[in-house]
Amino acid sequence: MMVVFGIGFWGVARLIPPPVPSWSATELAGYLTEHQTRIRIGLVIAMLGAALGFGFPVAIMLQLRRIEGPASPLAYLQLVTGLLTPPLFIFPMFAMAASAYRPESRAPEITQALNDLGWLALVGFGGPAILQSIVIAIAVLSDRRADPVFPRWVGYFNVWAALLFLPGLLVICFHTGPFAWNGVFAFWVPLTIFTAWYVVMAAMLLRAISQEEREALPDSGATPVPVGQARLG
Amino acid sequence: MATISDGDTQTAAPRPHRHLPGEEGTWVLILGDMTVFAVFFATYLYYRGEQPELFAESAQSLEPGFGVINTLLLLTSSLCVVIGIRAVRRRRTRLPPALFAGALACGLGFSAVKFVEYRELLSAGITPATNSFFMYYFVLTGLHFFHLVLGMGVLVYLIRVSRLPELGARRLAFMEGGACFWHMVDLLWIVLFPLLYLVR
Amino acid sequence: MGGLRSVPGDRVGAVWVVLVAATLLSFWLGTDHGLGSAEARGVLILVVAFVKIRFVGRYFMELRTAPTPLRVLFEGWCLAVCLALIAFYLLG
Repeated sequence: MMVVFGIGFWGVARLIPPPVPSWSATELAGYLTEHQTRIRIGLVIAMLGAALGFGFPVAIMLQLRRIEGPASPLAYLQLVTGLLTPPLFIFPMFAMAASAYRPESRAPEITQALNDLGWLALVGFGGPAILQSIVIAIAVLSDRRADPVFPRWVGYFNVWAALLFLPGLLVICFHTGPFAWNGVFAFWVPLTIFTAWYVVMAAMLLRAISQEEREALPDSGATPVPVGQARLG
Repeated sequence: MATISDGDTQTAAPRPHRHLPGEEGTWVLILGDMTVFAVFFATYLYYRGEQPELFAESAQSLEPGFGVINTLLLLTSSLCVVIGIRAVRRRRTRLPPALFAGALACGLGFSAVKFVEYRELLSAGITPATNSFFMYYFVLTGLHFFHLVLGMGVLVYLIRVSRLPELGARRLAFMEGGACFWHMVDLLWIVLFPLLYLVR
Repeated sequence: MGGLRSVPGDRVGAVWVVLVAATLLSFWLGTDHGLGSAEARGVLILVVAFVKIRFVGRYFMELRTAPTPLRVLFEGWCLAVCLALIAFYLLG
């Protein structure tokens, strides 16, 4: 997901770095008119990429279920919060697309308002991601199995990630500076951490899945741990 | 750097037993968080460098006394926590909860002072939107306060768990990690206090 | 609290006193007393802060007896951040 999204959003649309929030409406309208085609095509690619992200929380959920057992509230909570991520990418991008749809023939303030909606939503919707990371952290750190599904540091990493997503919520308060939607702490840090999180979780998921397959082999020598045997601390 | 205290002079001292406080993952979190805050501090000083008079003048509205009290509260709470953890290692079950509760009380005291401080500033019409300095002040202290609240949650956990007679290596490591998180909260404030209140 | 003294390197009480004293020193310096220029005071206050942090790390976080890589990371952070902050402060 991140790769396709990155190609679309960054490579083609050049929307990273984001347009400056403190631009006047006319400046913004001018920018969007000038780069219309690029932005539109890039957004189409990015939206496709975002849709690819639906499978990820499902995979995480299946692994968390191995920790918790059949009644696994944390796994489902993670699923729900994780499933919000692709829509929270796609919807803001639609707002950006709308602002770039016909900026040359409408009042710049309207264009700016749509653009604001898009960027504030894309950067500012940190809540579900924060909760998802916290839930993963709790589940990983309460894993009582001898051979844990995820290594312990993944839990701590998720706590750290959740903390770093937090400043993103401040974008609605600032037009400039490090907490604006193009700022260091509201945009770049969360973007970097989110990318790192994706890579880390993907690698750890592969590891956990191969562990699950090993345990399911009848002659592996390891007693497979049936779902539910690992107690929640 | 010699870290063996007195063993050298008597016999050939055995290599010191190295103990990792907490787990490896703990330090991913703690060092990572410290690094991000370091970036915050540097950013603050960078923007301060662009408008030193504004920052110095705005800082006059702050009361350093509050900052000193808060620093002393956190130092005391860290002392309680480290003595408490050592007592836990020696299998004591009555002393540690009391110490962790003392640390929690210090944390609550810090929170109270913070509320008073914020309230005074807000009622004087000063908000995060007033100027650059106060934006950094409120955001930095707010983010720190969030970590403090998280830390107080960890302290509550420590109070409960330190009562148990049987702990196990993993839980003990987690408790050590939690204690280090609290020390980190103390450590961050040790920089934050002079940065915001004292450095003119 | 019997038995505390028997743990080697166990001087957390003394460390606490030092930290409190350092805090009060910084407070005194920061409220416009002491040495001449504001820059000198500022640098000194920052240095004191990082000395305090080293004490917290080594004695409270118990890093004195921690594995070397971790100690290196921690001390490295202290040194790097201290120097960086002093640099940003003076260049402002």
